Amino acid sequence: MQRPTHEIVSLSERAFLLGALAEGLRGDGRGVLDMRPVHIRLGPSSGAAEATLGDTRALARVSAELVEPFADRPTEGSFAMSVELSPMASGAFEPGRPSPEAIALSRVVERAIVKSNAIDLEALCVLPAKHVWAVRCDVTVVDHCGNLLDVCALAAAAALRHFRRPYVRVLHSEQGEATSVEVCAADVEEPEHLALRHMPLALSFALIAEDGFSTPLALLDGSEREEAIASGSLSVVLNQQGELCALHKSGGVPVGAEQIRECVQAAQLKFRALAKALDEVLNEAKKSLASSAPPSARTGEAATRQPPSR
Amino acid sequence: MAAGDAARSPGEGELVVVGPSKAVAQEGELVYPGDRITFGATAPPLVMLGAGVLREEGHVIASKAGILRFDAAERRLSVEADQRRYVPALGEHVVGVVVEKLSEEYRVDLGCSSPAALPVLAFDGATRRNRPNLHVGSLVFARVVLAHKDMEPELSCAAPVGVMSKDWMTGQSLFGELKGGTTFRCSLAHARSLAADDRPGGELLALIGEHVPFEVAVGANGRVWLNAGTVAQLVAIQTVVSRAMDAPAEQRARIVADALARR
Repeated sequence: MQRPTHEIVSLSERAFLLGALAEGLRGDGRGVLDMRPVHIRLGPSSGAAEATLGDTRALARVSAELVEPFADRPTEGSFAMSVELSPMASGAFEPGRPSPEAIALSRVVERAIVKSNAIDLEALCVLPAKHVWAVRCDVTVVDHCGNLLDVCALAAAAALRHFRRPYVRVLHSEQGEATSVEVCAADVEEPEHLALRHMPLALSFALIAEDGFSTPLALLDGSEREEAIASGSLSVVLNQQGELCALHKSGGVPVGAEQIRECVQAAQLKFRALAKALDEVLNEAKKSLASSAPPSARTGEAATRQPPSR
Repeated sequence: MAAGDAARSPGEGELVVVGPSKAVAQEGELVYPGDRITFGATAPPLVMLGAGVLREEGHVIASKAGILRFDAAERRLSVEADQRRYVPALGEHVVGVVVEKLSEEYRVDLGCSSPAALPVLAFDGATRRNRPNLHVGSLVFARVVLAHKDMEPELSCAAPVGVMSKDWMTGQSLFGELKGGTTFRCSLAHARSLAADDRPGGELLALIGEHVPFEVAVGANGRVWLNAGTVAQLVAIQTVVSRAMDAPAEQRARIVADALARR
């Protein structure tokens, strides 16, 4: 998955990066476990978010539509991710069908969110066997300077927590049976946040394995150049409780159990800063929403209906 | 543009833009795609077409929005805009990476849409028997000698007319392989300002030179090659260049001093 997503690295640059690592330095002056500055921006509409890590930038957009559920899971909604690597982001990306790299990225993020039960899929059910919400999150990478997975996961997490779907009223027949649903406009009924149990974020290490190193050197938040000379990557997906939601390793380089444990511990320490940045932005958005929301008869009630977002 | 300017007749050899957006514009002013660029009454005939200008039906027109520039020394006309994707233009100096080695030429990646060709004999003093041997991954500093929108660009490492040519064997030639050091990427506008001493940003390399001795080759394609005594110095210079380029001009000296004083 690594090589074709990068522009060619010159021999001089490779020698420089490895020489610097041998002295404990990274090409851009960071320490081995330092992340680049994180920046998250929400909006303008609900479910839109932009995340940057250094110069790597991704936009996420969450949308939901009412669909008929699968016959074997009549009470569950669905969640799907897709990642697009725009040719604007890097000269190495081609337009057209999603590349294997793009598919791999969306799979890893989707699995981390779905398999860790971050989204309550049953809460997406409106009328069993008839209407459920199909939520999808589209991420577009617009600037590729390394570590796409973390940026995509961060943008997706921000967009999912920011997203509010329209309120749906279930209409009953005279016998008290639910018959049909009515989707309410935002000015009639307050839209609702998704029911999220937790929200995982990814922290990736570029694994540099060279003749001089006894074990691969794990660099947190690898830059595009570092990833281009790396033999593999290890991604640790954690949630706010510090629980491990997914572990993804690519590339053929062997990594020992001890080193994986060290990486997970390092990621747990760095996770707090990342989660704090996200929480701050979301709280800010919530505050400005509360102050600008048009007075509605049901606003108070709608607020209590919102699931506790953790 | 004031109406009075439009009526003014251009001076001798002065650059004039005639187009939908403006009546008369001078070097350093904004032009838009489609604007026709001519010289004043007595037109000097020979100019080199750089980035952002092209010839169409006997006229020179701007092909993108940007600042009109005329390099009097090289007689090169160009339109500068801030972008990151490189489009080769005649006469520009570039830093590239060899991606393929063929019997007659090297294929060099410049970050543009197709690799450029560098003939194996396009070095001063190179012969069939005695010529530089570049490898896949080698860095080269070269100049663009053929740039056409429908053709693959061509490079040369031979010194241009007016520059003293030194045999490639001496290691003192202006162009050629860049050994050691490292490269980093920046926007084309940043690369241009780094290379021009008389523009804002151009003093940055001199400022750094006051603290640390280093070598540099700035490619118009947004790749900058640096070499210095130690790896730590290289890391420091690279970081400070990318940080100081976006900083206001009056803060640059302080940023450079803070970052490099310890080295």
